[in-house]
Amino acid sequence: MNQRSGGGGNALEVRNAHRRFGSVTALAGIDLKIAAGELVTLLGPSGSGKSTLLKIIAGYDGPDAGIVTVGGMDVTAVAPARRDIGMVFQNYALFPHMSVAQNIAFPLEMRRLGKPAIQGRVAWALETVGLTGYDTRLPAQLSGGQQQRVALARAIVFEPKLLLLDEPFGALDKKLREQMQLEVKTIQRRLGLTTLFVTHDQEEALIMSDRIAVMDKGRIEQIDTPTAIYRRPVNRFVAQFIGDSNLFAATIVDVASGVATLRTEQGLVFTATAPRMPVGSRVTLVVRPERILRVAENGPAQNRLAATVRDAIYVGDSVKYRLEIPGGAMVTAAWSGAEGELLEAGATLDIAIPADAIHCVES
Amino acid sequence: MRATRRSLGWVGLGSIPLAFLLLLFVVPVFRFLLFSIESGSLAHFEKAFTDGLHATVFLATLKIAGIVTLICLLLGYPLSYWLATTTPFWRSAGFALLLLPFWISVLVRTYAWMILLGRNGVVNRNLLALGLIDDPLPLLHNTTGVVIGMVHVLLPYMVFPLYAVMRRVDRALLSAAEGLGAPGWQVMRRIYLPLTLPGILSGATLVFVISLGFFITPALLGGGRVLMIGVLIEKQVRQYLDWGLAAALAIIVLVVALAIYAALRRVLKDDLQWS
Repeated sequence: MNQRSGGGGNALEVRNAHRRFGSVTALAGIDLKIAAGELVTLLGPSGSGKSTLLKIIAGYDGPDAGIVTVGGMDVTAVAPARRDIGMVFQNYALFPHMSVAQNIAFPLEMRRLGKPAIQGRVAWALETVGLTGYDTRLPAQLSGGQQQRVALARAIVFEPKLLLLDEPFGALDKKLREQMQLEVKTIQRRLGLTTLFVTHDQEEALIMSDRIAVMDKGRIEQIDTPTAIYRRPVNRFVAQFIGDSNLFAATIVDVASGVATLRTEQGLVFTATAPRMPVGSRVTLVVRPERILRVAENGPAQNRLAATVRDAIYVGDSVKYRLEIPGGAMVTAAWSGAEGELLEAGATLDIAIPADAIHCVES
Repeated sequence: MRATRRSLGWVGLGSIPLAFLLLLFVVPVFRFLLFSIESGSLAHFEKAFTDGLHATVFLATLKIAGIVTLICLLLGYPLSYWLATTTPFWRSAGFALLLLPFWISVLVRTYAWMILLGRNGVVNRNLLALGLIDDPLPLLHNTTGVVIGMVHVLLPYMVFPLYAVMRRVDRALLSAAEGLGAPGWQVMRRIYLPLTLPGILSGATLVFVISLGFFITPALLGGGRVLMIGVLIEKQVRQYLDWGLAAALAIIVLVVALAIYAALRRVLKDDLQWS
């Protein structure tokens, strides 16, 4: 398949999109740029506006203000049928009265391709999604995973300028979902498809994306690579939404030579890599569970705390401990579950938080 | 034990209306149908098939039933679509209007049409007053009048199956088709029409089969000039006292109706297996 280059520009661009439904603001000024071949995820809780944004990009809804361009062309006023965008719907939306091959041929027939060309393209699409030989089946005769593959084949068979995936894995069980995530990602990479993926599942977003746009209340809170979003969330919402995190409300009491001294509301004092905020700022400290260290009695003393195990959750590859620390606060630590004895509730131990594991965001 | 006793209770309860129907409906109908072969021969059937009048009337009946079905479909399809997609308020209002005729006796409705459609009826007078026509349109005592009256009675029978099917059509399928490049008319032709075909077939069969046996509407609005098979059967019984021939004609209508119904079942099961 020949990948169309986006002319060097953005394959998709949304500029200052606004949308209101009565008194509810669904989109409050969205700016989004996706480069050709990139997979960007819209991640957010339900009601964050991600579905509205998707509808506006696909053309099923129009923005109150703002524009959408695909491949450099303004399509804000263009009907969905003429946008050349492939979309995989939440429940696949396969035509139940058409066979697999007829479903996949549909967009090609609408584009008036000749019969031989259609047959060739359909065979190619079926092969791409690994469903060769399923041509004559009806959607109802397929499993959930197979239906999903047909939906994907139908969305890519006409070489769309953009691929939209609307929570496509929601209906699959965990194992199949993980398999499909990797498969879709592989196909997307191989074909160089510019893709916008919508999900509320943060784990899925981390697995699939080149970049993640975290949405809340009609705004994009942060858009960055999965690593950057996970390690350096810009605010409390992003920190809480992606991955587990321990949050402490704190004040910056001192900054000296790149190291900040922070005092939490419970009176704990931490040293951390200095944030870009001035002394006296009220901040939220974000500490990922796996960054908390279990230390020996004579181990490092930085940000050291005595802790008591309150709860241990064994999840196979790791163990999650709910630990009570001085001041009565609870933190979650995640340590490898591969070997060693598990700590029982009531056990006491020393923990430490490395200075570079404390990330400060504005409160 | 409990389940058995309970189901016995239901059987007991159900047996009363069942006995009622059996005694007062099924037995008399069968008794009547038996008249057709009472003479011990198929003479009545022979007469039914060979008499040119019967064949003509039968064909006329099929024709009127066909026209009525077609008009019901043309009116019912958009109406059902509107009912299936509008807001709950308008849906209730629409159904109330659609069902209104059911609260009024067929006789009253038919007489109302006679007042509306007559030579000096409301319709003709208004059209004349507006200058749209110079002479009154012949709307009563002919096929036109019969068709109008029958469509009025039968429209709900078309709308209900259509509505039921349309309500179940996933709107995402229409969006998907559109997104895949289909203009509106292609979405209709390739997606919506095929998906609602079971409703079209059910509604059309229902209307067509009921049309075949229509009596009061053609008798009154046809003014004796539009002979449908129901009217003919009644004539045989009341005027010519030929119960045998009437029964033979009734059986032929019944067989045609059952055959159409069987054909529909077959199409729904074999060709539309996805539904």
